[in-house]
Amino acid sequence: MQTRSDEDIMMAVAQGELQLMAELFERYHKRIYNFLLQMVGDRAVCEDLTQNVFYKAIKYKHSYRGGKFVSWIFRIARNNLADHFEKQKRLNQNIDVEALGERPESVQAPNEEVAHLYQVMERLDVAEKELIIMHRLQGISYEDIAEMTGSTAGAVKVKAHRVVKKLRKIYFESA
Amino acid sequence: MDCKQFENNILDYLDGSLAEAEKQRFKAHLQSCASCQAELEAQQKLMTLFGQVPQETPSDRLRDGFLDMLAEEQQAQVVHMAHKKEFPWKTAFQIAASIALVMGGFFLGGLRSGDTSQEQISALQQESKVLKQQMMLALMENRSPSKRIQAVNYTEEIAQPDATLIKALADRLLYDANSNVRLAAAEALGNFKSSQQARAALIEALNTEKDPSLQIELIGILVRLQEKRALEPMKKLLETQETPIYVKEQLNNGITQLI
Repeated sequence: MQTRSDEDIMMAVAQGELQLMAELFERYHKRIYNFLLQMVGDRAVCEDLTQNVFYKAIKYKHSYRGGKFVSWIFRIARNNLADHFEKQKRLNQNIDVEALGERPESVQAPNEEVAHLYQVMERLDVAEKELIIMHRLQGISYEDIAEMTGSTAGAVKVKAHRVVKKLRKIYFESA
Repeated sequence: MDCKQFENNILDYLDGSLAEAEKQRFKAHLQSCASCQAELEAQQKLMTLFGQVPQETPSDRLRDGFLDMLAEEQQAQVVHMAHKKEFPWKTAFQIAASIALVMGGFFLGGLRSGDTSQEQISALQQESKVLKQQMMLALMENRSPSKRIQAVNYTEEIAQPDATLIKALADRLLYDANSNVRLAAAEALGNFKSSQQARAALIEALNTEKDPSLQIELIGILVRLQEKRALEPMKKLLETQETPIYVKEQLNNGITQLI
C-alpha cells in the first residue's frame, strides 16, 4: 500500500478532516521537537512550543496552499521560535544577552567532543545556528529551506557552506 | 584544482554531490596537498559529530496534549458547522416561501397579462437579491463575532458585489475588534478581484493592521492580486522596527513577486 503524501494529507486537513492531523503529528513532531530543543535546549519549553506548532497548523490550516508540507510546518516552528526568543528578551532585559543562547544543564552531550560542538555552535549567530540545525541535524534539503524562507536553493547552499566552514574553523581552533 | 577551489568543493564531495570530472580533480589535488588533506579530515570529523548529536524522544505529555487539543478542535468544528447550517436553512426557507407566494400571485396575474410577466419575474428576482443582501448587512453588525464571520462568509456567494456591500466588508476589515472577523473580511475582499474599492480597502488595512498574522494574510492576498500599489505600504512595514522577523520575510518574499 502506498503511503499518502504529507501534502495530500494536509490538503484534506485544510478541507476539514482534522483527525488526519494526528498522522502528520506522528510523522513530524519528533523532528520539530528536536529542532527546537537543539535551538533552545530546554525540554519542557520545547514540548510546549512543539504542541503550539501543531495547534497553529490546525488553526491556520486554510493558509496551507499546497507547497511542501515540511517547509510550511517548519515555517510555523521558526515563527514560534522567534516569538519565544522575543519573549525571553523582554523578560531578561537586564540579563546579558549573550547568556540567552546558552544551553541549560538539562541537555547533556553524549561525549566531550559533542559537548565541544554545542559550545562552538553557541558562537554562531541565531540564523547561522538555525541553518546548520535544519540542514545538517534535521536533514531538511536546501530546496525545502529555500521554500520556507522565501529564498533560492542556491543561495541557501552558499550560506550553509559558509557557516559550516566557519564552524569547522572555530571548532578546531578552540579544540 | 587549487586549494581555494578544493575548499569550496569539500562539502559537495562529502555529500556525494560532486560531478565525476570534478571528483577526479578533487582527488588529484588531495594526493598532492597535505594541508588540504587536513582540512578534509577536519570536515569529516565535524560531519561525524553532527551524526552523534542525539535525537531525543519527547515525553508522552506532548502527544497527550496534542490529542486533547485535536479533540477540542474537532468538537469546536462540529459546533461551528451546526451553527453554520442552522441559519441559512431557516432563512432560505422563509425567503423561498415568500418568493413562492408572491411568484404564485404574479403567475396568476401573468395569466391575465402574459407579456409583462417576464419583466415582473426578473424584478422579483432582483428584489430577493436585495433582501438577501440587506440581511447580510444587518448580520454584519451583530454583537457576536461568529455571526459577523458568518455574514462575511456569505458574501462569497455574490458574484457582482455593489459598493454598499464592499463598504460593509471594508469596515469589518478596518474597524472590527475581533481579528478573526477581520481575517474573514480580508479573505472575502480578496475574492473580489475586479473591485478597485476592495483593493483600496486591503491596501489601507496593510497600513493600519497591527496583528502579525493578519499582516501576513494581507500580504498574501495583495501579492496574489498582483496589486502593485501595495508595494509602498509593504516597504514601510519592512522598515518599521516593531515588525516581527517572519512578517518581514513574508514582505521580502512578496515584494520580489510584485516588482
